[in-house]
Amino acid sequence: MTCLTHRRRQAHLTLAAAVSGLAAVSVVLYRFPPESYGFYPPCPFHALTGLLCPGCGATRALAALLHGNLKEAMHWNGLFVVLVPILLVYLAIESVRAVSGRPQIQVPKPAIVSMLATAISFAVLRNFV
Amino acid sequence: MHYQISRNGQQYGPYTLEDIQRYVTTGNILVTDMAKSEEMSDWVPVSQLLTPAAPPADFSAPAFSTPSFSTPSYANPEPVQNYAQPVTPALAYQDAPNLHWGLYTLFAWITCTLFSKVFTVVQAAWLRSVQPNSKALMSYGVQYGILILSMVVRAATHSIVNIDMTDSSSVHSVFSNYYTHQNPLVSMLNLLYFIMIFVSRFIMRASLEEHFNTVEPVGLRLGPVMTFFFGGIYFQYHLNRINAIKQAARFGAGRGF
Repeated sequence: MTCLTHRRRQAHLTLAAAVSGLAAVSVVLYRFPPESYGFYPPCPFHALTGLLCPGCGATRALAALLHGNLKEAMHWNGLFVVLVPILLVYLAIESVRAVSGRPQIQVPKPAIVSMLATAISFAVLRNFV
Repeated sequence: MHYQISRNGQQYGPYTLEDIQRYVTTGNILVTDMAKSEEMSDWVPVSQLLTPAAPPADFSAPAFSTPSFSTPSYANPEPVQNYAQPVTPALAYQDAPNLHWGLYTLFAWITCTLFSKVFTVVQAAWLRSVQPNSKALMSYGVQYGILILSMVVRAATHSIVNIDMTDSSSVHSVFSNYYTHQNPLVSMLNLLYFIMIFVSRFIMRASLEEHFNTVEPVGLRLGPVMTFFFGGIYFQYHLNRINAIKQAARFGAGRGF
């Protein structure tokens, strides 16, 4: 029981930290759009290869989403915009399970494989088409 | 009779023999932990305590090589209702963070590797909690410290503020602006960071192998080539595998993982 309580308290703390972190990032992104401020970390893959990775533009896309500008967000990174709602649902479910002391969800393998395949296809398309 | 349990210089208990048997079944006491009662003069491995008929253990050999260490659960099958018994947090090695390597890869991709930077720290912090002599967390700290320093120097010396948004028709053009005219100090820091990536990976590998071949003896072997190229994703694949075995062992599916 002690152990469970300890783990759940840890889950609560982690969740609180994650939510505050997300909120802080959102505020910074909203207040300081990446198009105008250069302190955001660049993509190391792009720095090395000059190619766009599946995540390039995600910061700008997120900033655009926060400003309610879906079209601009799609322009920066369409894959990320599509994945944001899925990610939020996944994180919400995992958080609820962690806080209530239940084990993590097992994401089905086909779902993982197809998302990876989509990400690779997206990267290929955005660079070479 | 009551026994004290010792692990990594810390003592727990007292426990009855029944308690110890139950905690061994749930994985909270390891057969490699040392035990001693008031009547006993020396510490003995838990494996020996649970199988008194076994020959005296050779203390010069690692405790986990004692051949009889997996017998208790077969000799004393636990009632099913015991699985929900209270457990002692101090004795259970906390499971590693669980994340499918495929999801790890996906998250790393769609965040331009930012996720993997955060998650390697999570992995190293966990490793430090179960293997306090691990230097992996410190190494990652130095590595990301260098990265942040490099970003600060770049921001201070070469500003890209006020990029003209009207010229953003191509995603490429804005991004490539970022890397022009790099300061030599930034280049040096970036090179140092690049080297530290692999230093950290190999420190992490050594610590993981040490932990999973001594205090939690699962015989983990990590290949140098996979470590070099995949680092945290590769470690996570093995951590998930070990977590699954430990979880199964807690439910009595097997011993000695």
